[in-house]
Amino acid sequence: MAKVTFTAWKTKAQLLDVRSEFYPPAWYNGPDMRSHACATVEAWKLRGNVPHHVEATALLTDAILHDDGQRNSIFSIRATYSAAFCRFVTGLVDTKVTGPRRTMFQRAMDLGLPASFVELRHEATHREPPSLVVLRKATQRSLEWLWDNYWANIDSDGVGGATVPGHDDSIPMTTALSQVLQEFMRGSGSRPMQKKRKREQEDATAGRLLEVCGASKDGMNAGLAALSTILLDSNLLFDSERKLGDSMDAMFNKWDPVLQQVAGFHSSVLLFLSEELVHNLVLNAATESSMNTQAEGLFLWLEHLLTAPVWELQRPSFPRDYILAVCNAQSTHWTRILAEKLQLQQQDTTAVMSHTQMTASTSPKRLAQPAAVEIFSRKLQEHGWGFAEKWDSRPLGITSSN
Amino acid sequence: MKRKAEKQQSAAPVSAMSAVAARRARQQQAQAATIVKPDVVVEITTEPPSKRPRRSLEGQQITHNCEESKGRRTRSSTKQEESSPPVTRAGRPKKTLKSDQLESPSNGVVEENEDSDQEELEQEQREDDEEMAEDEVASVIGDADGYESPADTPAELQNFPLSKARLNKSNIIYADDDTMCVRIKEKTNLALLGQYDLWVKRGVVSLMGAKLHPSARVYRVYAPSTHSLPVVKCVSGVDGEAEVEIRSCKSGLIRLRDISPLYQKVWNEGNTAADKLTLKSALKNSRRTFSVLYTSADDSLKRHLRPLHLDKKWSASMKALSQRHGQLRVLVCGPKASGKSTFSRYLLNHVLSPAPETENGYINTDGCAFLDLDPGQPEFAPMGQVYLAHLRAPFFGPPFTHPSLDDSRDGQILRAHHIGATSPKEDPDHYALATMDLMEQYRSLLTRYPQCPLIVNYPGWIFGQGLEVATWLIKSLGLSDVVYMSEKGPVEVVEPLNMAANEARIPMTILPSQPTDFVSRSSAQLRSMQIQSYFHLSHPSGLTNPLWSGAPLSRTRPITVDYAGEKQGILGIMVLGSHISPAMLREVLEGAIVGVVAVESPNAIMATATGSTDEPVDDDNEGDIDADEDVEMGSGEQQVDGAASGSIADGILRTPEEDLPYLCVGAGTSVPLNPSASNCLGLALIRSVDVKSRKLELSTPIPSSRLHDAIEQGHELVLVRGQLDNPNWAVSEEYYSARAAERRYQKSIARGKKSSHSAVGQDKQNETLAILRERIRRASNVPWMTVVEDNSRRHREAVARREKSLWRLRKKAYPASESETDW
Repeated sequence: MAKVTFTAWKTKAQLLDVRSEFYPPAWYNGPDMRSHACATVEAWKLRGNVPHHVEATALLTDAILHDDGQRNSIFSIRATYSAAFCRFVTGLVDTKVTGPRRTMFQRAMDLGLPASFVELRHEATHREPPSLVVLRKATQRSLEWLWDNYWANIDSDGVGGATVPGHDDSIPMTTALSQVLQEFMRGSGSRPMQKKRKREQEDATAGRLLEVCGASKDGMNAGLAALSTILLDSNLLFDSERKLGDSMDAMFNKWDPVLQQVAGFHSSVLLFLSEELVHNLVLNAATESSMNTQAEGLFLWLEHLLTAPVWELQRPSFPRDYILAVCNAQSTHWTRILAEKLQLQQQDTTAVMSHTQMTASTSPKRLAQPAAVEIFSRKLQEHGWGFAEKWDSRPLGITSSN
Repeated sequence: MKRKAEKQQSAAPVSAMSAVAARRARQQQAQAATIVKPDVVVEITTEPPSKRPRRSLEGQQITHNCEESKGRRTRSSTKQEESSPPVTRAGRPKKTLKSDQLESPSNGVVEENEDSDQEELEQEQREDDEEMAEDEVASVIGDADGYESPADTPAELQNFPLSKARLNKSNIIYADDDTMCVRIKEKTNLALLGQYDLWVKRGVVSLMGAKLHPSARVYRVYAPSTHSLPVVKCVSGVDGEAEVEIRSCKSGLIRLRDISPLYQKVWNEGNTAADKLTLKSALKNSRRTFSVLYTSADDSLKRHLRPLHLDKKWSASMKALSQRHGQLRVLVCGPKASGKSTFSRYLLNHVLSPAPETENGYINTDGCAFLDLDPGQPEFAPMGQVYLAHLRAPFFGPPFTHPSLDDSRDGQILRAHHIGATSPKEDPDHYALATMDLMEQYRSLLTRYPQCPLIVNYPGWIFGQGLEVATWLIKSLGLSDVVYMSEKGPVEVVEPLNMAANEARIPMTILPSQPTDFVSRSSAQLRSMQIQSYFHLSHPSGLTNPLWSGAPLSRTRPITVDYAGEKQGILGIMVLGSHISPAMLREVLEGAIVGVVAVESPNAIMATATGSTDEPVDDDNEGDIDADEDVEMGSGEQQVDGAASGSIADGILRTPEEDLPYLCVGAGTSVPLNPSASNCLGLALIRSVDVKSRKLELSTPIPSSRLHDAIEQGHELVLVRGQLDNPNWAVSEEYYSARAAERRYQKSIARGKKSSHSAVGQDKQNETLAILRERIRRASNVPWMTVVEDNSRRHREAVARREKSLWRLRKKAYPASESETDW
């Protein structure tokens, strides 16, 4: 069940940037970026969809920045602290709750908010603003609380709400990858699964694989390369009981959804996987025989990646030329067939390409798009109004130049 | 708690109120306040907050008039959505890169299956829709406005009567697969759901306040399930019967359901018993764009449908008001959700009814002016604007079916001001100035159309400052009537209004508020629907009725405008409210809605700062306005042009990284454009800032001729970024559209299987599906949006709960609701 949420930040990276501006890491010794972070949150607020935790952090930080006895009166400093602190607590505790009425204290307890915060808020709203000592301390604690309850968790999940158990950093990546893969193998065991369950499982696996690969010290590509190696080394792509000439469809059906999801984000996985496949095919002496099951399996995978319609979209990243070169260099039964297939396909695609180009140029949609001249008068064009010249459908917030 | 807030409000009324309004209002207000205050506290204790308990009393009665009904949330038993011709549109939406390869297969499948068994199709669709409905609701959760709260489905009459008339062989004159001509007996009525063209052939019928006589004119009617259903009622007939022809129409509005969940399950669904009767057996499966409903149980989606019958007092008052003919100047005000806009809409239609010459000698040839002061839910414009419109013909449908008027023969917007917020309380001074300027416009309209009446729709902002503005308007606008839309006070509002009316010697009518207590869309949702409709609407020349496009905005070609350099097309970009750091301007602009405002003179910017303290209110500056409008345009263009850039240049700051012209005037908070020298042309969505070429990319439905005219007259264009609701609808359009495309294709495959002549191979299907899924994946990975697979039980339960729920209108007439969020 997909849940669509809207964020004030364009990308997750922006939120992470703001976090490191609010809470600079220990080793950081650059300029103080906290006021920049406050300004950013201020700008986000204009857009809406800002979580209360983010807003509260900005307010509290702003109050700290305002705490300068030389320039501001003590009253204004206390008032700023009080206002920020009250908004922080009230906003948290007040989030429209349906259900039985509960006291502020009860709700604070549910949220894990120290009871002293509620008390202090009460004091600040109904009595004199508390003393600066108390306010400074409370603000500091609030920021810590916000870190623990919000900021610390934003890396792992999509929006910055609930936490997802992250993988353990101490395990080497390869181990982590094999764990995920083994789990997938076990999960998709012999018994038939509900379609929906299956899809969920595939999504989850792909997501975790990406996560592990992304966490690789040497970058995403290193992770994906490692993934390809593991897939082949652990013989996960083949059914161990398969005999020569048996169909591989079961295996394809099993892995395609996961691999495709991964490829959807990083198409380079196809590159690594196919290279790995062809290397295995060529470099293993045993696979030269046309009767080797293993070799046939490798070949069938390559052929599948090369021809199956499901891989159509990712095919541009298929290292055709490289594989062709390898095949030609190491001629065996299987590489010969593969090379033939590749060459044949190449001819086909050139034909298709020219065909699509032809149809594209006469596509009625293009013609329907009225020229700028017709819509915008000369005067308007002189004033800088017109249509985007180069344009492909792209989401809001993305310019052609980036 | 509430009472405390109450007291504070009335004790400290005057704050940042317009200098203009305040000066006028203050003295009298002070008097009024002192007189009224004693009752205040007492009254509140006895009187429950407005009319919440209403429905327990009247819910069972048939008085459920106006306003919306229940939409998709009751989908307990379902059928497929919508009468859907678009099933055929299955594979269409991928115009992208790979599209060409794809176009043929998918279309092939679809064409092939078009004639397959409808019943089966429905089965299929039912399942698919189920899936969609889940996340559509999820995405909508949590945008309740202050006065609405999600409510569970009330245990109400499921079998709510809608039509009195019953169709039978004798009163069906003719019918085919998209037309139906029927006779309706006097005093009976027919409720229709959907979209249709209505042609009155004999007798007189009433519809949404308008009285329609036989004529050659055909009226387009939009009757979505989100609002109470308009009923076609026979007022007087020939031989006791009226004859009407109802015809299916295609406006494209239905297509918006592909790009927004809010537009789903809005229209008619399948054929009702009454429909089947009028469709000959051979045509049983055809789908009209409308359905006849006898009771709400006829609806296959079991939505919360209510007819819109006029309350007796409403119709009596409408009649009385329209007796004033050209002298009518009425202000309609009242608490939130009390039915102000419904009443205004009906009154407007009533006034605009084209009466035949014979009836009473009065012919309305001057149309009617509509001054819409509610920027939260404007009738003929998207949110954030106040405007004066001049209308010539009645409009049948809720606001999202006419989000703009394109100088059509039926109506045009004479002048609009961008408030930049859904509530005037952000800047009451500016609001008051804008109102005064629009009144000036009305006065100048009167010189051309002396018999043009005026209807003023005031927002539900009637506490504190809102009350001050309202009383001041009553005293200063030169009205003929005031209508207050609540019989339940509250007294501290009614009394001051009454006093103001007395003082201005105009009668004040108090009407019962609308009896609806549940709506299927919150006001934030309706705003979103309306603005989305606005951006997808076009008025092709040569067509009487507008058309909607269902293509996501991100798939339309952007309009660009230079923001720097020789051809700079906009003078500057203004951000309303507090100043922002110039470095943040781009952040604030991208993916935001801005008002496109034509600045008519350099005073528009500078004068507001100084000028507002003297009186743009007074009648004596009529001359100035006229000068702005007429004289300057002719002669002084060049001068104005030069002067404008000269004086405004000081206010323009170039942002460090992008070189954007940031127009910021005022200390700490920006001074808005002076309404007397500016005119809002409409809204635009900034898609992105292309820094390299110094261009803004935008989408806007503003006709280029309007931009041209403004520039031709030497006006400068300013983009005003206010605090309108974030366009989440625009961000997610492509995603929903991609989902819809995939769903359709799945359906067509399933149908192909059943009809067992699958023309396209499995491989081809998989390939197509892969492309469609790829499109979904890409569309879900866009700025400002996250799509998470959430299968937790909590989410599921929440969704299930939402599905069954409606929005309960609290109709709170207390300021407590105002202090929170918006209204």
